[in-house]
Amino acid sequence: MTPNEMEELLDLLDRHGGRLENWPAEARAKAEAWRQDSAVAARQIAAMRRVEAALAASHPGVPDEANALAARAMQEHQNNPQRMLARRISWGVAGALALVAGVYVGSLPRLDAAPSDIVAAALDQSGGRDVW
Amino acid sequence: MEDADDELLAQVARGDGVAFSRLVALHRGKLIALAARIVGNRAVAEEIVQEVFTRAWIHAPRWRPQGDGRANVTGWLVRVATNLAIDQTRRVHYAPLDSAPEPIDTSISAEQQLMADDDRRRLAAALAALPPRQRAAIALTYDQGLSNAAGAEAMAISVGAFELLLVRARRTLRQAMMEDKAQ
Repeated sequence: MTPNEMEELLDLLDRHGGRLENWPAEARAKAEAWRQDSAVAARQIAAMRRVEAALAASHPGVPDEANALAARAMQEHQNNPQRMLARRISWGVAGALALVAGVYVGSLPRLDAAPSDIVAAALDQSGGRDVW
Repeated sequence: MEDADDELLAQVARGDGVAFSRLVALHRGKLIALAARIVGNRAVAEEIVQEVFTRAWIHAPRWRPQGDGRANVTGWLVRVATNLAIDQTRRVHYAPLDSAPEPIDTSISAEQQLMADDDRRRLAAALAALPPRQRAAIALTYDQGLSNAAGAEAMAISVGAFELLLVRARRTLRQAMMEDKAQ
C-alpha cells in the first residue's frame, strides 16, 4: 500500500465513517483490498469502528420523566412574567385582529341580499345619499 | 410523524397541557441525549431541554408549517437544542459524561469487556478535547442518526461546512484511538 493510498484511505474513513458497507461501492472495494493487504490499513479501519462502537455504547440514554419536564417547562413559563406577557400579548393581538375583522365583515353588504339593498347599505355607510 | 407533531403543536398552541406532555414525551429523550453529548453534563442538558420546551410552549401559537420546505417541528426542536447546548459550552466547561459502569455484557469475554470500557474512556477524553461544534456534528450524526443535510440544517450551516466538522471530528477521534492503542 503506497503512502498516497494510505492518505486516500484515511480521507475516506474520515468522510464516510468506519462502516464500509455504507460507503460508495468503488471506495468500498478499494478499502476492502487495502484492509486485506495492509495491517496498518486494517488497524485504521478498526480504530474508526471502535470509535463508533464506543459512541453507540456511551449514548446518553434518558429515563422517562416527560410529564415532570412538561410541568417544569410550563411552570417556568408561568414564573416568568415577561414571557407570560409576550404570550398574552400575542393572543391579545390575535383577538383584537379577529374582532376588527369581524366588525369589518359584519359591516359588508350581504351577498345574498337584493342588489338594491346592497347599494342602499353602501350608500348609508358612505353617506353617499347626500351626494346625489 | 410530522403531521402528528404539527397537530400536537396546534393543540399546545391552544393551551392543551396534555398535548404538551405528549410532545415532550416524544422528543425529550433524544434532545437530552443530544445536549448531554455536546455539553458533557446531564443536569445541564436537562436544563437546556427544559428551555427548549419552554420556548416551544411560548412560540406554539405562532407556529406555521410551510409548504414543501415546511418548517419541521422535530427539526426546530433539534436546532434550538443544538444552539442552546453550543452556547452553553461557552459558559460552562465541558466535562465528560459521568461514566456510570455499563452493565456486564455476558456475550463477550472479560478481556473484550475491558477493551470496550477502555475505548469508552478514551472516547470520552477525546470528545472532551473536540471543539463544541465538532461534538455537535458527532452527536447529530451518531446519536440522532441525522443525514449530513439534516445535521447541517440543525446547525444552520451549509452541508459542506457540516461535513467538514464531521471529517475533522472523526479524524481526531480515530487518531486518539490509534495513539492510545500504540501505547
